[in-house]
Amino acid sequence: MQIQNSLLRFSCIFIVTLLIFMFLKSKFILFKSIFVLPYFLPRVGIALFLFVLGSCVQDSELPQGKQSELDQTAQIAPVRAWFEANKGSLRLPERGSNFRTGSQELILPFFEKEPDWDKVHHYFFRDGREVFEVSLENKEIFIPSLGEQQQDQQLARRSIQNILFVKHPTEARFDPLIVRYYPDVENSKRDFKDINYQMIDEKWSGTVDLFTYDEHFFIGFEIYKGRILATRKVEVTGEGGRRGISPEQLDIRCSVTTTDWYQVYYNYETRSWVTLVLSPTRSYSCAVGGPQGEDSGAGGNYSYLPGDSFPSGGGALGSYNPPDVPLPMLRIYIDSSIKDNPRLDCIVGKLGMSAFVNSIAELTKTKDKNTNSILKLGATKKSDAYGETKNVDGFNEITINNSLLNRPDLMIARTIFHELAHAEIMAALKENRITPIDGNFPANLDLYITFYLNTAADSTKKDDLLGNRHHNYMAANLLPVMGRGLMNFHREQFPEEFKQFSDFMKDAGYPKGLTEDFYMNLFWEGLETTTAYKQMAAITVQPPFLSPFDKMKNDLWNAGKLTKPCGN
Amino acid sequence: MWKLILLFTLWLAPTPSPSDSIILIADDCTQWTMSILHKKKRHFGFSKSTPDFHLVGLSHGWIFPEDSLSKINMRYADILEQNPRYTSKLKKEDWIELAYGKDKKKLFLLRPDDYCSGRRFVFNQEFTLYEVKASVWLPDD
Repeated sequence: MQIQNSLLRFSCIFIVTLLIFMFLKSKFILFKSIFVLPYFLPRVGIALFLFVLGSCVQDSELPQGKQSELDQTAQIAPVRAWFEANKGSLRLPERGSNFRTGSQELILPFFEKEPDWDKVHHYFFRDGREVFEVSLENKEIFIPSLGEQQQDQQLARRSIQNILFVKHPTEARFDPLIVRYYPDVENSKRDFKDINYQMIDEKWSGTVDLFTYDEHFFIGFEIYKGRILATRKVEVTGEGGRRGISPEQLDIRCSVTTTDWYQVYYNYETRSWVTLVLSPTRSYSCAVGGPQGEDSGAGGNYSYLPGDSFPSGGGALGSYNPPDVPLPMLRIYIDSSIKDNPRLDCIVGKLGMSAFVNSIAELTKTKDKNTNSILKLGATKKSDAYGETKNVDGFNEITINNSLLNRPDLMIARTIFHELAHAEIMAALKENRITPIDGNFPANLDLYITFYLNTAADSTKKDDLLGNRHHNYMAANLLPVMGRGLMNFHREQFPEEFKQFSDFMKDAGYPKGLTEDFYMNLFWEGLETTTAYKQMAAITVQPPFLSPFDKMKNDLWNAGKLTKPCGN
Repeated sequence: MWKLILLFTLWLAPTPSPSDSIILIADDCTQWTMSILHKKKRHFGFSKSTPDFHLVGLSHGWIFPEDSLSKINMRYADILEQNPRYTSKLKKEDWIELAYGKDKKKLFLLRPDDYCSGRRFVFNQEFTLYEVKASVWLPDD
């Protein structure tokens, strides 16, 4: 590292010296070439000088940029040390390492796990337990067969397997579980960084299966675009193959499918896929309710104990004790009230909500805070609000007012984005009490909340005050990101309408076609009590130019003439 | 050519009957501010603040030809016979209904600059009523 830094410094000094020489050289040429070079070369020289100087200054900040990586390395170090010391004993007591023919429990062949310690998600379960989710470098992966070799290979290619290390609340141990993400379709394929057990985006569909470290099937979850549809429990059907299940044996919420499990890996030497047929299994899929699950306790600390015995028994310190786990968490849950409304379902299906939330989280520094929101359609507390966000059991519950849907799709998307921004501000407050864009913001906001909210008599007043504070922050800091997100949505999802509208707006204040400014302006509706709005509205200009306020008003009017491509 | 066809079609289209529409008279003339929404197409809007809303608006304009709004000419006496509604009398729920209600009745506006002009007091004077869309400024809470 030191050698690298020295080389970097030397390079910078060398280039700067070279540029100074060029600059002086150009002065010499000045005497020879009066007309062109005196203007050209010095300026180019100065520009290059500043550019390189800027690069050097940035380079000197590189160690700071590496700080987060160092922090992560320091955080993961105890986990790694614990794993290296204990991985030989991470087996369930009195259980074999391969198929147990006498039991219906699915136990897949064990292979040594090779965590990639550079790929780590760090988060907390809702009960406070710390979790490190680490990518596995292993080439082998188990898949539930789709029936055809080509499909199985595609599934193996797009699947991800990670190892969860769940820190014990009181003991110095990090009990592991294996999590495998099996995307249903190609467009649900994700990179490691884009998915983890507590942060699955609303576009993802597939199955998440948990196994113990020694490959006992633990529990699975079937997920479809923002909804956890079912839990699944897998049993082997034995050598005899598939036997039928009589209807009376089934819970009404459950269905049964039979699946073969394969072990698949790519052999780089022979450049071919190797598939080992494992065991035929029977999978029981049982519908679950909301984000916490039907059987969850308050706060969603749902610990699923499949069957009658797994996992059980304490296990002494040093032995393997598979941790209880909550349901996987989705970044945004799509409530059935949205799914049941074809138009809303269409709009929500086109919105890149997780991507939008990520862009907001960049600003609020909540990207690793795992905020979870529920999107619903229904009545809002204030009947004349387009939408509202409130915190219910730790979830940000966003409700879109079902009586104010008679407006363009773009404007409904705007409301959803607005509410998602609220959710992220809530997360920033809850997790950090810090929003680093405005140096005074955290202290001011804390004071504000303490001073006003703790003394406000009724809850409505409290909500109003808090909401307005959110709006102030949104108006002052988030409008550019929100505007860009809305513009991208419009341009990418409704390209025809966007093009026609952009042409129309060339004679309505946007001679070069629509820009982010237009979409930013749409977010001002409802922010009129904010300081930024008042400042914006106070600006006057000489006619025929339009003031920012008049332009914003016209933009909102024109946006109101847009259509409902997702239907009525 | 297509523009001619469109114009011809519009010309042949039946004139909206006042019975399936609501006539609004912007009688609180000084409260309204006019904005030009699209110069070439002569689209305009009127807005004002109310005790309930930061802004309410009535706009005559469209983006797509199929959404075009109409105009009708009517004598002032005939307008009064159609039970017009006066914008100064509209309440909060009226505005929400006009903007978001499921009632598909068309809205025609007697503009404030016409209503408060001397032409109102001229015998048999015809006014142009513009079909408009209502909007109210609501919060995303």
